[in-house]
Amino acid sequence: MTELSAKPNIAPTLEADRIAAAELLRAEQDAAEKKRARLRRIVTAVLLLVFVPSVIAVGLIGWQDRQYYIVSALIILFSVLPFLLVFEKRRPRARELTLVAVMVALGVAGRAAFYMLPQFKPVVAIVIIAGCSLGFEAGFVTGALTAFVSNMFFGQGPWTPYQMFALGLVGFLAGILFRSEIKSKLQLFLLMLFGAAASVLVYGLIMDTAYVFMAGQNFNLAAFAAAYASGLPFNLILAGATVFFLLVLAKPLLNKLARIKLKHGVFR
Amino acid sequence: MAYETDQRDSFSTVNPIVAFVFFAFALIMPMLLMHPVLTGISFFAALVWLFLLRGKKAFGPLLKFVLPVMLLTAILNPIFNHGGVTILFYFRYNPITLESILYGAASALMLGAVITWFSCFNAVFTADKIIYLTGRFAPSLSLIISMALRFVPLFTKQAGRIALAQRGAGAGTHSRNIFKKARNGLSILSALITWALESSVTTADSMRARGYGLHPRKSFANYRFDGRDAAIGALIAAGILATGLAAGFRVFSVRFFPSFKLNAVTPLFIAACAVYALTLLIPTIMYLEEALKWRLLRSKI
Repeated sequence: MTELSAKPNIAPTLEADRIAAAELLRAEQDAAEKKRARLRRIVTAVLLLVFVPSVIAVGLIGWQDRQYYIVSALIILFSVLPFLLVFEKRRPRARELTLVAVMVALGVAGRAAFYMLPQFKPVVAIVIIAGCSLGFEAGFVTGALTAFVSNMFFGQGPWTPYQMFALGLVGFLAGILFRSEIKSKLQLFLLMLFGAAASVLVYGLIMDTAYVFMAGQNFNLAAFAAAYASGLPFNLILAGATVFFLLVLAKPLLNKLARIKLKHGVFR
Repeated sequence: MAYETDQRDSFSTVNPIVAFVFFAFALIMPMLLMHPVLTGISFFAALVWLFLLRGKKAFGPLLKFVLPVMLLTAILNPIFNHGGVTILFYFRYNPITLESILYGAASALMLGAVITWFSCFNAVFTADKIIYLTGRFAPSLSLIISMALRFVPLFTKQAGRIALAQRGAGAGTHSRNIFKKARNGLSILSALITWALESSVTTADSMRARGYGLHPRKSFANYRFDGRDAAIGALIAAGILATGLAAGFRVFSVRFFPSFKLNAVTPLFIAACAVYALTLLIPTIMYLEEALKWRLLRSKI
């Protein structure tokens, strides 16, 4: 009799202990996760602000007669790889992988769907949205892999490393500058402004610079000026496309992503 | 396109690591040396192989896209670059020099060779080979690439299903009005994105249920490294070593500025060029050998 009555008394305390222990464990894991996230942010910032400029500096000092493309492609490769490896070494969860894969596939399909309109592509807009919603790390990965995978359909070339870097940087900047939800018209406007700037000043500028290197032209101001001037109309079309697709897609797509993130607990 | 291999091309069946080393060599040499003779050899070898791989239709895009870029490069260089001592004439008070014209021509040749080699690369390096190569050091990223490649046709198919369902429910449109069509397209896109995001989570859960991320992963590989791969790899390595040594001992050297100067044509130079040409023609030789073997066997039957 005493045993029977004792049991219900003990069970709740055990249950409560277990809950408390689980909460403690979760709190510890959260703290560890936060610490790791902070470390990763520092590592990425160091990579971007110290490593990349120093590689460029070494490249400029060792800038051999007419090996512009090789040196520049190596610089680009060395600045893309660390970002990808940071993502790789963090051992992303399966849900994060599949979500990034969906964003990459949307970008690739978007580029394929608008194949008949030169430069009028939703790719930059989709990478910006991915960066906003999934964060700067996944944003970089989405951008770089969108360029790589879409070139598996449209052809790899000497431009591939530059495209990977340029689109990755767009995703990275979007992740740093913007939050994942759009609550006011002003935020949408700012995002569209960023989209236009990223198309012309980040993607366009990097790809036009790449052309000068690819053509093996001499490193002088006039050649760069000519490349930028001839690239500007194309970059403006791209900027127009990005603004248009952000206007149409940003709000619904960000809302859908926010819902998925909340519902399934990914990328928080 | 990204998935199919040419069954008749025998180099497409060698181990991707060997093939990758070959392409890296073929792509880097013209850019590194910019020697007109070597670049010419390289361009020729790439064109021959591309013709074998893709037939006549490979040359349409090459003529439409590569030739203009090459011409533009050759013309723009003398206009922007006034280095060199041999002034030919003045263009709007700017000296046009022989050296910068030669340099422009060499750059154009280099660009043509590199883009043609990339066309061969695109034909040979199918998605599975790229994933085989990247899967070793970046399994998660290769998984994303692999899933994205699968999602593209899947999404296209699903978009068709959604359109059909909407039409069946009376929500679609047959209208030719472009605005109505665009509106309809957007609603299909919206449904597609929701479906894609949700199904991506289902896929992830299914992966986890099958033990993804529990152990260090081994990846499925369709490629063995057999005796033939070792033999071809050794040949390519010997070719790279010989060309590298020749470059190191300045057997090939070229200087464009201030005056154009090519290395002396010695027997050693000719031998080195022959080795370089043979190395780059390995895929072509393999293709022709296979074709010949097939023809001989068939005529006996």
